[in-house]
Amino acid sequence: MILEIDTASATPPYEQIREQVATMAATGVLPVGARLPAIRQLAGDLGLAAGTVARAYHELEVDGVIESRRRHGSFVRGPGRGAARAAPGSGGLDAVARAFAVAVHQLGANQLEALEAVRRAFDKIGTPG
Amino acid sequence: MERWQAELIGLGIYAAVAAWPAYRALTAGRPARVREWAAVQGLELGNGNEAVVASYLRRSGRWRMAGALVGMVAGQVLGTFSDSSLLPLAVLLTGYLAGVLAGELATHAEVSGSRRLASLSPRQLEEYVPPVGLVWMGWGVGATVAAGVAFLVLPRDDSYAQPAEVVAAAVIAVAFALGTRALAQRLLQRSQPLGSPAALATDDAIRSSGVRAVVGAGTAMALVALSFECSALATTEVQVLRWTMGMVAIVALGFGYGAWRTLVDPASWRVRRGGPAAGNVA
Repeated sequence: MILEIDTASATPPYEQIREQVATMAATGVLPVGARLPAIRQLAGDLGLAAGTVARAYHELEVDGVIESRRRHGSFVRGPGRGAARAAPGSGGLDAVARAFAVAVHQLGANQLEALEAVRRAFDKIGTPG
Repeated sequence: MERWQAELIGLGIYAAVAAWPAYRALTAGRPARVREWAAVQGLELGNGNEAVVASYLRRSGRWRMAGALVGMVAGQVLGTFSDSSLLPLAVLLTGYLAGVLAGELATHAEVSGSRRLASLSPRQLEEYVPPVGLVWMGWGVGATVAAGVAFLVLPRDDSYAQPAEVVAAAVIAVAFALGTRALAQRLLQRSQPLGSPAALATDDAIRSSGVRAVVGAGTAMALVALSFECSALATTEVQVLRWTMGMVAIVALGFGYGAWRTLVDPASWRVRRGGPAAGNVA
């Protein structure tokens, strides 16, 4: 899963992290029990201060989205109290689509292949198109 | 034999053992070596990553070599002021570790621009270093501490091995193991540019090289300390230890060198990550 941060945005970076992780947890993109990267790793990758990521993780923990286990890291606990905010139709779908598009790019696949894979996935789970 | 003659022989043994790794380190950036390194790591060279790999191998090889050289000379010089056989090797490994870190510090991906991407997959030590390396280090440290305690409680003649040195060897082994593990974790947390799959694979391979070198130093130190403790046990008044521990000490020393060689060999490990879309479920 990919996080995308815009440091030029009016929304503070910690809030962008919180919102995206909460969305992924609420939509099942991040399954319960999934381990999140260490604060220093994520901060280094995003070029942010460790305190910024720590604040996002703290807020996610307060919301019940993640839990931190001493010396083992942070794990997804469930949708949390902010699940309603992350429901599809209120920005959640856009976030999932954006993460999907970035992942497709990482895999080196093109748009056509990605859309075809999405269609196959919907066929497989029997969701009406 | 005069003291200076013994020191000269010690230096000669070091030089003989270090000659091949030194040659490999100094020629690491050559095109043929870069292709060889990439092949064993499963990397496809092209799109700019060949220059990245060549630059890393050249820089890290020279820093590691310089660190080991400084450590070797400093260890020999300090060894003239001490009777400890552990000191020169401990200083050599400390110098090597400092060289590894200097080479890795220069390998830093700048994060720029307002739009930034990061994977939510945690990078874990077991993905970047053969798990057996961590096991060797753990067992080496455990055995060193156990051997040290055994030496202190067994009947002995302190004119051969000093208890303070035996305790110091165990402390050095534990400190090295904890320190190298923490340093390896910091290398995992170094920023990773989220680009093409080829760029990610190159970064992972480079990161693994640094992590393996750091863990290799910690493992070698643990086994060198174990060798020292076994030598001390061979001076106790327990007959079976007097007969066997000298040989065990030699084996531990050889195994320490072999463990280091294995861990720094790029063919020993290929990074095993599920890719940026994978999450590790607890």
